[in-house]
Amino acid sequence: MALLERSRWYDMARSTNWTPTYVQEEDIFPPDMSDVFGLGMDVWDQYDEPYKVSFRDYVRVQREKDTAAYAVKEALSRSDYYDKAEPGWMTILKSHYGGVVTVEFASASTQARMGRFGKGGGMRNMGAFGSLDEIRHTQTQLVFAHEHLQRGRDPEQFAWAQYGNRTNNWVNLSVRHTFEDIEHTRCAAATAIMTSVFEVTFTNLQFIALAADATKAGDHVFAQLIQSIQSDEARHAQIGMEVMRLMIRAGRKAEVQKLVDISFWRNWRAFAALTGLAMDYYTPLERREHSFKEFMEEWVIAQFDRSLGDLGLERPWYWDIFLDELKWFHHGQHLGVWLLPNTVWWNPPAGVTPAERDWLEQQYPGWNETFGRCWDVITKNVLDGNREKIQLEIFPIICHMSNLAITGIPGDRFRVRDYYLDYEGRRYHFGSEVDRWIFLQEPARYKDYRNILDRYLDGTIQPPTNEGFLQYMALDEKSWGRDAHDYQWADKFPREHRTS
Amino acid sequence: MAADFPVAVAVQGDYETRLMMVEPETTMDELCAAVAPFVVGRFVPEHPDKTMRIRHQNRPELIPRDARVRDVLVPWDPVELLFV
Repeated sequence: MALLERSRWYDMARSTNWTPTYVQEEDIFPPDMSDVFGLGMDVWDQYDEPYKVSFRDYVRVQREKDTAAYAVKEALSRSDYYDKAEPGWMTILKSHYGGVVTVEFASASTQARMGRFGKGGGMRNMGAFGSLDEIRHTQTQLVFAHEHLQRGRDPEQFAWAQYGNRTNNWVNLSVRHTFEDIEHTRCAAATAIMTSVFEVTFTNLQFIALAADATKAGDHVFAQLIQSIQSDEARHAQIGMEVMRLMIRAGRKAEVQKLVDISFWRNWRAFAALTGLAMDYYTPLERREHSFKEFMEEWVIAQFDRSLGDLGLERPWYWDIFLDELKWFHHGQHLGVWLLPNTVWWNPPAGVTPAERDWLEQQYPGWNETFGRCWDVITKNVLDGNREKIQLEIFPIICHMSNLAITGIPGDRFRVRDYYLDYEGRRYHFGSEVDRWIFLQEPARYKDYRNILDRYLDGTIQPPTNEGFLQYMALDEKSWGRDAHDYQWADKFPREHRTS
Repeated sequence: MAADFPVAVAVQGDYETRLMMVEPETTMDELCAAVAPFVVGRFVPEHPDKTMRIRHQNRPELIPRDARVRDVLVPWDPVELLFV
């Protein structure tokens, strides 16, 4: 029997809205879950998703993607690439799997929220496919990560892929706080918008730009895996883009802009700490395609302008602050992680040999007289054998929004600021004016959260010792990190760098 | 007396702001002496020819060296430790 072309039946088949007579509309679509903005059904009936996919087509394409990814994995399974890969590259894999995979699983719920509570028929259809996508992403990445458990190269660190996001590790707390805010605790309309910002721009970094580095590093398995995922993210992004179009047409541009501004910043912080370190410090120097800043300019800033600018949205009010931070924020985060390697599940490379420092100075003019000043002292201590001096023994202040250490610019251009706020008798600390602004947009959403430092000080973490702290974060001697090159990088400096 | 007065200290040249728990009676000189071993010579160079002084973040004037924490700061105040 001949099949009708999809274009001849799709619009009608997915138009599943009707006028309820036995219950109220808000019983089917509670505003808190569906649409706190109160757009009428006449508006939602105009929802017209650019990607139109039938279940038959969806399954066929996804099967092809899985086949391609698993074929590469199978073909290279007997290769000894991972047994010989650069420590820095293995670190990227560990941080990606442990930080990202279970976020993908949680995103199945995000998409399902749009699939159930979206008020446009097409939105629900796309959300349902999105939920299936996220389950596929989770399963595929768990399988690919699981292979490392049998290879004998830090299997306890690769195991974080399976459970990382359910721990109280500070990295995972930061990731959860971000994604619970933008993906899991708002109505379907707001969720769609905030998720789109993430998928239109930032996932490009982790899934396309990093894939370029993976290919250059010779890791074709990982490159194939993350490219397979990114092809779905582009479709997800369209769910929220259409919501934005509808809301802007309905005169709700200000609300859209605010959600975009919040989401963009929260993503910036998360990806700077994750992808920024991977690109500028962990990827072996000779394998780097571009700097993090260059990738951000190409994949995030340009894409943001193209996609959101086309809708008539403005760049966020804090754009100048963001462009300034692009030059320095992740460098401070890298220092913090490298100095506390036993609080993460990967082995951070220092990434500051003389050649790497030249590269950093070239990419980030002024690096040597800022971050380089701290590394000068650290390097000297490494060369002098003063290992006790390359440990952090007092806590950094932790931002109550990003959950990252409050860092700034060190060295000759010293500028480190705690943007604090006294609210209802409690002092909150923020890493930037923007983090504080986000808090003030909806204090009730954030005010009761206790970050890892609060938990240490209020007695939640027991015993209140270093051991208790690491145990609380689910780390032990087998899983916690250490310098990826066992400090041998420092030997590349001339002897005059030593004190003795 | 318990060291239960939190101060957020950014040492000049350092890359992050750090939590220091001190006693309310602590003077500014004592606060400098308490923080320095954790930062100076570790992440910022030593400045043997200079004096360590404290000032409020965002304020130009230095706090007197003998001023006590309880008199010039509130808990969790961010301060800068400068080499002058």
